Amino acid sequence: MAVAQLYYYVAPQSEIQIVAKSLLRLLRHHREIQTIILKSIVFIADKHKQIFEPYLKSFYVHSNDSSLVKRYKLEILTTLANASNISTILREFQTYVLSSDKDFAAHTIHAIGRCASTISDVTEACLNGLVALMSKKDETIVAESVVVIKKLLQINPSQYNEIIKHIVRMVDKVTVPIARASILWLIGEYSDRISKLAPDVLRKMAKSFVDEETIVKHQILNLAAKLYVVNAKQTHLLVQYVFNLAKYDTNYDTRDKARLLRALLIQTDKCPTLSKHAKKILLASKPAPILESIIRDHDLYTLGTLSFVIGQKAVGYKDLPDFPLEPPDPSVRNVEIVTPLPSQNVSSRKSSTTTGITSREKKKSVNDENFYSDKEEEEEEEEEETSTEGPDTDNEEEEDEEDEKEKTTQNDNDTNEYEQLDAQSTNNIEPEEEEEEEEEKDESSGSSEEEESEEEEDDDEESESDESADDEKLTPNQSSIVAKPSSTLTVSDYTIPATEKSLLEMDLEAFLGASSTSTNVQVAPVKNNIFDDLHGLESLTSTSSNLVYTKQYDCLNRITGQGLQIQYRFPRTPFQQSPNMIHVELIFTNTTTNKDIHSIKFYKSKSNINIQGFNQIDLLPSGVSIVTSIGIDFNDKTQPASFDILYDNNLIPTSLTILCHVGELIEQKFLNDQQFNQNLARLRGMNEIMDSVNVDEVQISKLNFNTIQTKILQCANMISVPSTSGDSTLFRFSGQTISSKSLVLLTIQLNMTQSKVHLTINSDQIVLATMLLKEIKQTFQSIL
Amino acid sequence: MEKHWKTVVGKSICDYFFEAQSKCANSEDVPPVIATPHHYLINIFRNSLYFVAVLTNEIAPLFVIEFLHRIMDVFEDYFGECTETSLKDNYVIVYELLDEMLDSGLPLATETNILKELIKPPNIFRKVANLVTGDNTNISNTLPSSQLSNIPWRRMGVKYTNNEAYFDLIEEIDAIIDRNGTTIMCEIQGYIDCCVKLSGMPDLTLSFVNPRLLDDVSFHPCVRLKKWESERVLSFIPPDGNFRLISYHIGSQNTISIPIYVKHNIQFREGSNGRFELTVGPKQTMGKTLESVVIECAMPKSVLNCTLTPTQGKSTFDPVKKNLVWDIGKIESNTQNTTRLPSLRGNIVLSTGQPIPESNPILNVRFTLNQIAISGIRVQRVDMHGEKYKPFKGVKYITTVKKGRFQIRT
Repeated sequence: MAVAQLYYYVAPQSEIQIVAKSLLRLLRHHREIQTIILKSIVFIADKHKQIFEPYLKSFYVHSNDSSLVKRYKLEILTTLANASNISTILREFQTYVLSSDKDFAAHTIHAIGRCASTISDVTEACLNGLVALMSKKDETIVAESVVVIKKLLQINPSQYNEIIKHIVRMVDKVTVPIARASILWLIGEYSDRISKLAPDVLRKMAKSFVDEETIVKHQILNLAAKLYVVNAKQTHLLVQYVFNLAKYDTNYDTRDKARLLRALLIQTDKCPTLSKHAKKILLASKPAPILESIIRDHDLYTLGTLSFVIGQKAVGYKDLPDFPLEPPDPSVRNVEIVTPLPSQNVSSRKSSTTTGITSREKKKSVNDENFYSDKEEEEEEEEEETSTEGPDTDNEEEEDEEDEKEKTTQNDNDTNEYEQLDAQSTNNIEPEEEEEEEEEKDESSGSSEEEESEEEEDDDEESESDESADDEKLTPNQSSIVAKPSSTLTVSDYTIPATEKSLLEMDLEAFLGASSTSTNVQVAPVKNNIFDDLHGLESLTSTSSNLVYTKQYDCLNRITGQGLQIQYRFPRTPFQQSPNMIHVELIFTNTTTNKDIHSIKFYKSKSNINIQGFNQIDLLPSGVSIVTSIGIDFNDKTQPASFDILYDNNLIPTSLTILCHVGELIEQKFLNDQQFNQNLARLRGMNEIMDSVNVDEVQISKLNFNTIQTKILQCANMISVPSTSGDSTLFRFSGQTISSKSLVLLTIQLNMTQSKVHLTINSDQIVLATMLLKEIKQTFQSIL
Repeated sequence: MEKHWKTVVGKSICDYFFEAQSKCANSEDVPPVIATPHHYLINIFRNSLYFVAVLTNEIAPLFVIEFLHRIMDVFEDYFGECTETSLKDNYVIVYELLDEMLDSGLPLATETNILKELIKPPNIFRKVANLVTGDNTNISNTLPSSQLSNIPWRRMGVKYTNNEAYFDLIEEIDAIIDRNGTTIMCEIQGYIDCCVKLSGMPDLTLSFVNPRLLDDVSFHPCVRLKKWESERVLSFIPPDGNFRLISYHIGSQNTISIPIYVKHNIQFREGSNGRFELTVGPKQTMGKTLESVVIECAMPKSVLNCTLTPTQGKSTFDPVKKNLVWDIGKIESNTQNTTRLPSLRGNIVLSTGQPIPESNPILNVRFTLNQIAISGIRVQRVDMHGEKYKPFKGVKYITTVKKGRFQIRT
């Protein structure tokens, strides 16, 4: 229920659907629960009719429901009634009317009246039904139907002369005062239509005037007065007689009323002006009443609370606060994100040297628009300044490191080359679907011992250059050889456009006022530097090796896409628009030679997975690739996200499927030694899974911090935890899932004597952890 | 009896409740939430007992109602039934239980498994022992170990000599059938009630033949939700003893074949009598036998008596409550010839002078159908991991009707 409450108030229109089912399930519980749930449903159904419509039948009344439950069910049925389902509802109502519970039957008639008034198609049928009901023997039913008919007739009196006449004939049979009063009122109001009958009715009433209830007497007086205005000659004496009777009535209200009317009509000499207008006063057209539900006034209180149920303010009741009109201070959100962001490390560092200045200028130009985040912006700039001034030396150091790294990678690549060739020869036997894919697969499966993340990057470069180098395909071997010499260069070249893009995005963000995300990027390197200072060499190497790690996957090949090829990859940077989403870069390539592809746009997502940030591509010239980024909320599940796109004005959407590897569901979350241990202690028991891998002695001696870290980075985006104990066989990594931000802690313990690697993962998301463990285990096994 | 937490509330508060109760003709019609000038009363009615909770503050009423029902469940679990006499017999335990379940106005331990460790359930032996020793408390001296374990619903170190796990798949039909025999509404509410007696920390996996049928489910907290969402299997570490693993609901969208039909002919005629005829037969029961079939019928007030003769079973009429009960018992599925189908015929005597009832009474049908789940759900297999021994596993299917949820309009 609490969840339903939350959904009701917070969820967007599209998602509120879920509430219905679970609320209906609750209906099967005890009577008391039923009552309260139904009351809430009444309230929700009033606002969102569509969500309960499919479950209409669940609200059919059982004969042994308690009276409150019956009433609420009736109320819901009435609320849900619309032109399409009214016939079934009315049929259902007809059986209710016959029920032995008279009170309930009366309510049903009322409900029929409401249906009739809201849905004009069935008014006729309802009225006929009600008229038929009036011939029933039971008084309460008859009375109730008369009252309802009266209300309905008032809404649309012109067409129903017959019904009015019928009712007038009923007047002798009906004994319930309120119904009699209603009939008399009707006669008075429409006396011009039944000019013959009306005086006759008045004559009868005058006879029994003394025995009537007060309410009926009032109506008799009204009727008399109205008739007098319309048809003075015929009724003069009768009216006089009635007024005289009323004069000596025991009820002072009746006496008052009689006196008022007499003054208005008969004693014209005393107030001549008033009597002129008597007709206007008495026969003024009255607005039709709106048939309202009986349970209406609960909009005041929060759904599901005690006050809501009893309809009055309980002690300690607090209203829900309105949605804040101004967004809260974004600095509140900044606290959590201390994580050194992996790829932006490189990019932002470079940005500070290359594009940083221009971006800052741009930012200043848009500063005017940042009406509420000005302060934030300033802080950010300060921070930027400190980052360029303070840890300058650090930056240099790191760059040195990087240079070294690049050298080593070049070596790696060389060695790698051979191994790959070998792998190629063995793997050739296997059936292949596509050459490119195969190439990638080879490299990952036959991944050498010293495989570095850059190497992976290179592959992407290759494949991309392959594609853009058009259809004429080199054999994978050749292409890799050709591409290799330039690959180390492309690493750095390649990252720059990405940074530019991200900076552009940042500006866009700043423009939109969501400055919190842009600060992250800026803060990250600063923090990173400080942290470098603190944790010495080990962590230095860790950050510098966190280079962009990207594999590319196909989601639309160029044959099925009629020349349009779409690939995707996970850049492992946070998605700027929403921190809960996984950043996916889509690479659109037009592989045709002479045809441009127009207007690629997002159509809809299929699997209830939230996808954001798909910008329409207006034109994709032939032979050109465009990289766009979208955010996908995988909800910490590895279920593929599938969605449809439209392009080239095709009406049929093309569906794409993006598969997310378990490692991509995780983002880096830096924890220090102490924090790690704390969280580890918290995530014991059910949240812990272990496994071990047997490694031979040679291999285990090769495992050091760098090699292990690379392996982990291959499968998951996690960051190492700086060790204070100096234990060289213990490696720890931490990360958190992107959607739910639950921690994932990985501990690797090397057992040198038994040559085993013990893996332990602690996480709330145990399913995810199991998959992750499997993957990590495989990478460890694959090197053997 | 009363028990106060935090502050004492005067007994006069009950007057408001009694007043509300006296206003309602039917004991089930008392509104569950009553507002009084300073307090709010929330009551439940079960087994002809009222449980009333008094609140002073805003709190979600469902929470309170749920808790009251839970108290009732615990009492039933302890005493076998929850009636006035059973409560009077066990006054001490009732107070002890309430003490444990609600601490300073906040619910504390509500799992019966844990409570049973804290407070021993009553049995004859303990009663005798208490009398002899003069020791009058049932509270055990040790804290329950499971409150300290990281799986709150299971205690550590459970040991059984024969390990068994029983799963009862129970489905309740909720249907309304109109006078022509067409089904107006039909829903199924299903449960899997388990009785698991396994040693150690077993990790069970239960998979269905056709999990697609289940679309609206609610689980015991022990079920791993992720696994259900991804693989549609129930993976869980079961609590010890009896518990409800899952309850599900199959809505009216799915077509459900109803395994019984009732032919009826009820007429009230002028001149203080009427005809009453009922024939019951099985329909699409897939060879299974309908058991304990009972038809109840609440007659209109003007009915004085019924003289009815059944061909099978026993029929009784309560002239005070105007309630007709026909207990049929078993109906074999293979008796296709209509002559052998159970039927009930006879006359109705109406009181003279009163108008004849306008509408025919509604029939409430109850039956059980063993070895089959009417929705077609079947358990495919139950696997156990985490422990070495081989347990005995049993699955039972029952289709039944909750009282008053299967109605035939006549």
